[in-house]
Amino acid sequence: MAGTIRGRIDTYHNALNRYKNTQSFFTSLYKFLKNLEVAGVTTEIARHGGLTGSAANVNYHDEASPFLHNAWYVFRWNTNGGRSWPWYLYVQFFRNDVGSDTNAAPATPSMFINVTNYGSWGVVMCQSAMGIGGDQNPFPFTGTMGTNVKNSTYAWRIPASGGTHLGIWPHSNGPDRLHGARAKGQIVPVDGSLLIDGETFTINDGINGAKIFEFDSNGSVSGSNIPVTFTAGMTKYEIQAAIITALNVTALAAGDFYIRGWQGSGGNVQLINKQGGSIGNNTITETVANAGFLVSGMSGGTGTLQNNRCLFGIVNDTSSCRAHFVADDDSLVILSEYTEGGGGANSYSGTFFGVYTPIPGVATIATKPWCVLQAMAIPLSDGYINNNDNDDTFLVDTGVAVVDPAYGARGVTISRLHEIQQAQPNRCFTTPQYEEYPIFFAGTEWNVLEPHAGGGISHLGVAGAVEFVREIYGVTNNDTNTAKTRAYFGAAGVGYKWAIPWDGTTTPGTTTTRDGVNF
Amino acid sequence: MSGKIRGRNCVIPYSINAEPGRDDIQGCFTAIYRYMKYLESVGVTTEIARHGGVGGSASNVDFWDGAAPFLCNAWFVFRFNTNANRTWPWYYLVQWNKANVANFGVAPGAPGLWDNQAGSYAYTSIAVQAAIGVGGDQNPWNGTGTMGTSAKGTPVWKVPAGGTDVYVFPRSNSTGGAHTVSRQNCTLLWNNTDYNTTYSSAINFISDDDSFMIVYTNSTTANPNNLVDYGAAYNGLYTPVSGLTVAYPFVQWSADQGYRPANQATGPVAGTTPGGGIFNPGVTAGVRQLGFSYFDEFWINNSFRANGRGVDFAPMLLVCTETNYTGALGFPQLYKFAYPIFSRYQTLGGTRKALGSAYSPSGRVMIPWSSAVADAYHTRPAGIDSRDGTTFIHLDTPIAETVSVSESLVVTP
Repeated sequence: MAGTIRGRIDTYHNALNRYKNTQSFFTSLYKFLKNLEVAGVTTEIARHGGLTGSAANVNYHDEASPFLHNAWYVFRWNTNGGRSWPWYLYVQFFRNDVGSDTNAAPATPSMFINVTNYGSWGVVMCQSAMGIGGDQNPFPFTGTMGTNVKNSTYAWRIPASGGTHLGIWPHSNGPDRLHGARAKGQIVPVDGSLLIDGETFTINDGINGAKIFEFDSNGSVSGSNIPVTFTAGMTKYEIQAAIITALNVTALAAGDFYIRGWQGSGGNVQLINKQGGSIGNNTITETVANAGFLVSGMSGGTGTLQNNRCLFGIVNDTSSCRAHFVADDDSLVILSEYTEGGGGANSYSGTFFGVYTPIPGVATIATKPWCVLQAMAIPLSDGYINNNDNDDTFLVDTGVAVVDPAYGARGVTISRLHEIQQAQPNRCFTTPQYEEYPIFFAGTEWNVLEPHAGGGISHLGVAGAVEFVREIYGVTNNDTNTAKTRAYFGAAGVGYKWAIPWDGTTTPGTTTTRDGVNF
Repeated sequence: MSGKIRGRNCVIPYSINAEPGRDDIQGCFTAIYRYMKYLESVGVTTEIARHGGVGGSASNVDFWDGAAPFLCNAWFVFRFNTNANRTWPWYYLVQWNKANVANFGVAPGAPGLWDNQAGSYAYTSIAVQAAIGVGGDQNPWNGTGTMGTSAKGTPVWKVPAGGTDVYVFPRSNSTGGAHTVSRQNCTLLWNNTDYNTTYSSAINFISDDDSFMIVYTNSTTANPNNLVDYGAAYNGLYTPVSGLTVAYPFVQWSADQGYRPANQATGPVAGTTPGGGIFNPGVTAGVRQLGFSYFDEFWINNSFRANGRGVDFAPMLLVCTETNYTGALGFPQLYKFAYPIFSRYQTLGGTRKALGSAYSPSGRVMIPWSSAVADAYHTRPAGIDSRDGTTFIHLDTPIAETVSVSESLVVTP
């Protein structure tokens, strides 16, 4: 946690129309992010005002130049003295009644919880990502602010100029998941005596173009070909090692290249494209005369990293809704009241984006401790593994965290100190007190597909805790502490709630304006 | 936590006498005494009172095969002295009985109970008490007599001269408990019902200037030739949760599997098993029943292990579980938790060791350790010298290995 805590709280959306309410939420959040930009916390990276819209379309639905269907914006949480890596937030507004789906222009590519049209809903959806290494920018786009164009084949990417990994949420866009599976392949080498100097194989990672790898026994290669140095006396296992060196070292030295190789069985070279998505499905070609030299792939990549989760959704025209946005220089929490899709009156969903505190044993590894946790109905479910493609089913909680930056973001599960939280208020104080607890999470995924110097296990175990948002037990929805510097939201009644910073003045649930209260 | 972390690993070989298991308990009792004397030599403790046991004298301080051994119902009291970080002393009583001689609490060990029992022929036992005197001269010891033939008073512990209160552990000796008249109830460290055992025991001591823990094996025929099945007993300080001010952050418990199950009530007001207690500064300050939390939500299966990089040490959160006084209090010092690993697992560098049940990876107590100390395992030591153990001084800051983020629990202002 760093910097000043700022908020736009108790925003109230009561337009008596599902789409207007959704648009109002989307616009209110945009204005809050712009406030943060003025304070230097964020930078607006890209935006589109929506279908038929222009750069001017940034307003509420009943104002001139409103945000329109499929409007979207991307903000960057800038680096600061304590954090040398930025993270990015993508937000999109969708209204079902316009006739085009979430994946239509100007938002292409885009899905919402695995579909492109969700009934008669108005929806605000989002993604978040961070680029690891290179220019740290994971969002590819073109055009001018207000009418920007997303990359249609990969919504997010490994950063250019030396980037190594991508951390992305929702998890279904991540490594080997439904919307971001990585293409894989294989090379079957032969002994060096069966190779001829100048023979080649060619691989294309889909972003950086094809690279030609040339077997080289005379110290000379054609043009910019990547040498695979060999001698006639080398075994196929030594050729295997030479190919891996060419892929993982020599090719990288020549520029960005996302395909990596590692030792497979029988001397084979296993290949994987670190950039997820179908863009990696490019056939390997080769000119080796010996019939024993074989290539397969690249194949198996899926998706365009386009799937979104819901920040706010509504299906009826009668429900009024509140939302709270609170941030510091590192993190953002969004709480939105919902009445549909399983929620009840005064129920809240919550999404946290930003920095977690690694436990000491992980701190030296977790140099970029970024995570996203989303509770569709506060609190987060705990005690189950949340790392499969189904994490984008509507009512399933989801979370990712970058534990080891060498693996990008992976799924997490939540822990909760049940025994303690139910002993509330704490009567060990002279005046009994309600307590707030960090939200602990643990990595849940094995890594078995990608070579890494540290071995194959990277994500299991307790990683850290979110402290900007905490959990509290025993209070009711809309409660605050006495000073009103903390406020508590969740389902109606007593239970687990999220505790967030508050302004010291406002009673939750009392304002009547969509701009809410800024602090 | 203050001062150097010190430790000692002792192996108590079985005796050649009839019913050697009872000598085994005597050996452990004597080993505790000798470690207390070691702490006295470095200024951490001061011996306050002692009795050599039934028929014994001041000279009875030896192992069972010595010229003047500690005898049945021998006991001793040491004071953990004040230091720069702790302005109040705490007192520690340890007593044993040899069941074929007398029940626990018989003279010169009267009055005395363990877990509200006097035991029987089957129970050769060691049990402990701790006490804190509030105000005045801060001395809660109510005994009399000369060192070596000292006498316990009734009650065993008193409000200090000029003081205002006395907090006695286990909880049943304090206000609202079943033993507030004589304050004689002790927390069972362990008893050896398998008095014919011919297997060795190991007993380890870990301490700093504020806290003391004993970890020991249960050597029984059910678990023969295997010194890995550890119990543990802790008397000492805890670090209060953020925002909580505690005048006497002291806790006591004993656990025959190294730790008590999550949230299990420990230190009931009746004084029965399991013994223990924790000082709670709430509306009515006093010694209360406690429970534990271990982050066990993470341990839904064995694949959650240590980030693939080593063992995570989770803090053990101490909770008051007594009705009307419930709430989180803090974290014990010296004592951490890990899961799922084998007993006797030693961390890289040997700075911590896991102790607990032997049979499968499970929850483990993580204690400070020294790689220079080889602990006993699967063997009877070649000689009896090992029962005096190997003493070590630990690195000064081993707790840096812990999951400190959880210790930043905050309290709503």
